[in-house]
Amino acid sequence: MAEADDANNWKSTVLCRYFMHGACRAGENCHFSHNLEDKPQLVCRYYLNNSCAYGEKCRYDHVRPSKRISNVDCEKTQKPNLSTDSSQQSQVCSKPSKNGLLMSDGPTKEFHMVKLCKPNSQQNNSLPSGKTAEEWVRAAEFVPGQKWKGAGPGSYVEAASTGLKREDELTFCTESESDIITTLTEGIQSELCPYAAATGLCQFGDRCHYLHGDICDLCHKAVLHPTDEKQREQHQKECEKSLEEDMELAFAVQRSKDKSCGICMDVVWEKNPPSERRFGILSKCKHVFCLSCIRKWRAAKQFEHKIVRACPQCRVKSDFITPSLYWVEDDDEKEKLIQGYKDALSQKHCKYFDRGRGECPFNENCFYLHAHPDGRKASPKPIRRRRRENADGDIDIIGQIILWDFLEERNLRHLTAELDDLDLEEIFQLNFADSSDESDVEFDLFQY
Amino acid sequence: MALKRINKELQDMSKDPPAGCSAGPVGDDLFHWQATIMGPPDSPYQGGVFFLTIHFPTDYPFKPPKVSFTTRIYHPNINSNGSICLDILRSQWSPALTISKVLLSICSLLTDPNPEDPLVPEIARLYKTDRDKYARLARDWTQKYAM
Repeated sequence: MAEADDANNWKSTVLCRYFMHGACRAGENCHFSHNLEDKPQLVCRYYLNNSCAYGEKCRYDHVRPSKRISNVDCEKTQKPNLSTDSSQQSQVCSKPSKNGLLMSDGPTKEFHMVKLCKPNSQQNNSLPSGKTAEEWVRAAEFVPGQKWKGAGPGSYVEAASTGLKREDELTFCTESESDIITTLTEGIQSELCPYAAATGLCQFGDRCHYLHGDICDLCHKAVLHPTDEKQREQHQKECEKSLEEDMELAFAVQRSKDKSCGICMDVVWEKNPPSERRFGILSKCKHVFCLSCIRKWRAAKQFEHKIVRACPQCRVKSDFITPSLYWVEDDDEKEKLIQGYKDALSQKHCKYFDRGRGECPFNENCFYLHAHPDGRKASPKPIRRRRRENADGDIDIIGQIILWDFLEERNLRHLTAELDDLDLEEIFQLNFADSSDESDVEFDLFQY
Repeated sequence: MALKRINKELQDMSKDPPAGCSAGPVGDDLFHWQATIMGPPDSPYQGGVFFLTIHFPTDYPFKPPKVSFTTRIYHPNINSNGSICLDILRSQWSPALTISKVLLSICSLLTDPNPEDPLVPEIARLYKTDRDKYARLARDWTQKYAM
């Protein structure tokens, strides 16, 4: 228990490296110090294990802290007014942590502060055990210009002896080392160098053990295998395809960027917030609207259905709108867009049908998925033929009732002033009187 | 949204004013405008200057603006309160319409009254039966109220 406390308390004056970069998930529970005046631990743990392969080039500190040195350090970094009293000294040491976020007051803390300055052997206990550290060292290393050997017997020492002992940034290997590399990396001649392929520049130049491919005319990258015809052909095909896609996108951007909405009159791509920068494509005409405007207009309640369903510019009725990031004018492209939209919607469960629990007013015309929980697709509900009494008292047999037929008929009657006493509700009652035994309401009334 | 669009219309109006019409806000309130329409040539309203007020609803352009004449006018589709019977200002409104287009429509309504959908039935009847008398009366009113 005390051992565990000790293990944690030395950390409380070591700056948390997550906090140092602005975000520590542990917050107040972090064992490390959240006081930016504290120093992060920069002692090389491999050095402490006598196994650092980087030697003088290691970017971590190769110092072996002893109790005495640590105490001096501690004093040096803190206030200069030292006294020889040991309890006083420990107080001085704990001073920064009192400013820190984590510290709790109390004499035990001060005691453990002294423990912080323990010799390194104790510190190593808090690090992963020596065995684990050794396994880390054995982890596979990727050396640029050489084939990755996987989790082989390689160690940092081995790695350092081959590729990493560099003279300067650009010359990686000396003559004698390149011989070793050659023996290590036989049989990689058929693979393309990823550096040359990605940037066209490989630091190893002619000495690179990977193949530097021919430059592709389209993407200007060294990705064409000098001998593998199949690879060349495939790459060219892919390149052409991506070039075509890029061009299409560029055209779409060109088309879209200065289109302004016929309702808000803003340039759609300059609207704020950026989520508003979408077009609502009408299926039957080519007038430009942003999605939010045309949706709002089509949902307007105070106008007739045929007014709001029509394009505000040309009054041509469109049954639905398709959202799109880019403006689409060409008929084929529009067809493709609409099909894509319908396909995407048909993957989503209809919230009205609700996997069989509810009923969708659009029935088989609904764009959304009508499927039962077991994945079985719902068959469209049969259209019920029903009798209705018309205005003259005759019986009609009708297959499909559409609300707008009623409204139109009613308006017409109003105009001709033949029969205008009947309220809409009465018409409903009248016409549904003979189907009152059916518990469910005929939703296809609301079909467009 | 409404304010932005009204501002845009105001800019367009000053940049490219429609023939025979003008419009602009009254004071600081952009939702309240005043407009003028010159009596169209080859109509009995020729030479008159007619004033109108325009009130924009807060959800403009999803609802039509309220436009009415403040100058009296003898017209089958405009009553003594200045209310205008014009389908695009009511049921046939479209958010793509602008004040400039509305004013042009009113101009054309002055040239071509619609006696089939009258607001003042007497004027409509006179327009249908005795066009000359209608024209004379309209000219008289124009001289009296709009000049």
